[in-house]
Amino acid sequence: MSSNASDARPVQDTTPLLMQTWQLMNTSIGAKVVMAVTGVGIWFWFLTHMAGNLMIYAGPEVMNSYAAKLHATPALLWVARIALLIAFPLHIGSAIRTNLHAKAARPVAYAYENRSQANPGSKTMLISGLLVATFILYHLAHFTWHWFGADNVRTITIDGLQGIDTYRMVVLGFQQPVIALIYIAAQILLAQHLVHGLYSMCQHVGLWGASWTPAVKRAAYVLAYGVAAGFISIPLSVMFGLVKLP
Amino acid sequence: MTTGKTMTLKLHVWRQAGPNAPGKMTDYVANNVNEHMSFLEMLDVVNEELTKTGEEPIAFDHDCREGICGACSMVINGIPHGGHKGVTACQLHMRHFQDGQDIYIEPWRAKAFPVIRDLVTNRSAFDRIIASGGYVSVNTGGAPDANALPIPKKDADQAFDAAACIGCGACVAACKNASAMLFVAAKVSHLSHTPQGKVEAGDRARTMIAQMDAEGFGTCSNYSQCEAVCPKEISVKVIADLNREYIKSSLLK
Repeated sequence: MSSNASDARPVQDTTPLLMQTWQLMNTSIGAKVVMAVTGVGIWFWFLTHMAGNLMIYAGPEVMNSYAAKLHATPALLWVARIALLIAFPLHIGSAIRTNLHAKAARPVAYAYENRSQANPGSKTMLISGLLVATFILYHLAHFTWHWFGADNVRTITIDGLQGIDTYRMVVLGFQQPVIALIYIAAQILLAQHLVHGLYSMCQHVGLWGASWTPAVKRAAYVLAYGVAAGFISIPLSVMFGLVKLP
Repeated sequence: MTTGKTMTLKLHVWRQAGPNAPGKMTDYVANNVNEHMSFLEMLDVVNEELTKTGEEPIAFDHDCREGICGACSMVINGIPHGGHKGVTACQLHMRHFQDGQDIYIEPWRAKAFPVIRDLVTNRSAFDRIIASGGYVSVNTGGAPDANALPIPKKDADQAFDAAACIGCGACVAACKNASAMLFVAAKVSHLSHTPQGKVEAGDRARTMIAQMDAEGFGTCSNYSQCEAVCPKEISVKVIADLNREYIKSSLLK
């Protein structure tokens, strides 16, 4: 304790680390750290998802074998699922919270629209994010829960494991132009969300360098649209008949 | 003023009689505006005319009129200080406008900066943020020799770049979220780059952010609109400095 009664500086804090983390999460900067950390996590999942999807080019055996093995490893699958079930609500929750905060911070709007520079994608993060989240639910309903398109799902046995013919399900799904176009549109939307997101993650956790921050901004474009191109190549290949049923 | 082109401008100005009075955009014609006048001198001319007709002159904040005090604060055609890179409204000259042009003039818009009258807002929130931690605690005694404390050139430069902040609030006015992060970050970065200020860097970041949140400013979404309008061209780099300092001190306090 301070002997000087007028000294307002904080004294030694003995709050446990978990409590400190919780307190940090509830501040304006902390909410953005939550956004950045969960964003990185979701992005890593997104990369592994693309790597799995690209196996479609190796043919039905490789892809179906990968899918069957993944489903035969429930521990791995559920660790990823639980991590995502934590990350997504935190990411979206922080977004809504900070947006409401921002709205409250400017109760009277400008008569003349604010024209100071900003990447248009950066100003529409909430909308692009919510649209992508909606797409993910629709995508799960299609390829994971089989709420529709169930006619294309066939059970097979591969490498001694019971599984579904993922290759066939994807090819038959993307042969329908509407499904392929929705998928492509969602990927483009996500790419422009990530252009701002990938740079923003660094800024929110305090990573900044005069020499490499401009490179991070350029790399964000390459990474975001590069990964989107990888995903988009699949419906395009199916639509143009490059990937078809054997 | 004998030389220079004379122009006529169509102004649309926010008029509000008091903090709780309703306000509205009001149209005025500014005649005999010389191209060499500053934006504030143009408003002086308009106010001179308004006084003659018995109308209340347009209230606006101003002090040094040489771009160093941070008093002038108006959003001109959607951009705080008018969007001429690195200048305050008082250093913005009328030659950057066209004869007959429409000009919209509004106060800073933020919950934390309530309008007092017309274009004048109450920016005491910034003072309260400074009072919460924007200082260095030094025990009084004999002044040390100026060169007794070695400070690397790089640190001195970074501290000085951040110290250029004049606290005008254009960063808040430009931000889509009405966030004060560039202002707070400039102060935190400035003081934490000097040996005297480094000692309290962590506590300072936390107390100033707590006050910033309490004042009702928005959060930072890295739009960089603040950097684009800052009359002192302070980089959003200082925000990364603040984030790093804040996270570190919140978890390791």
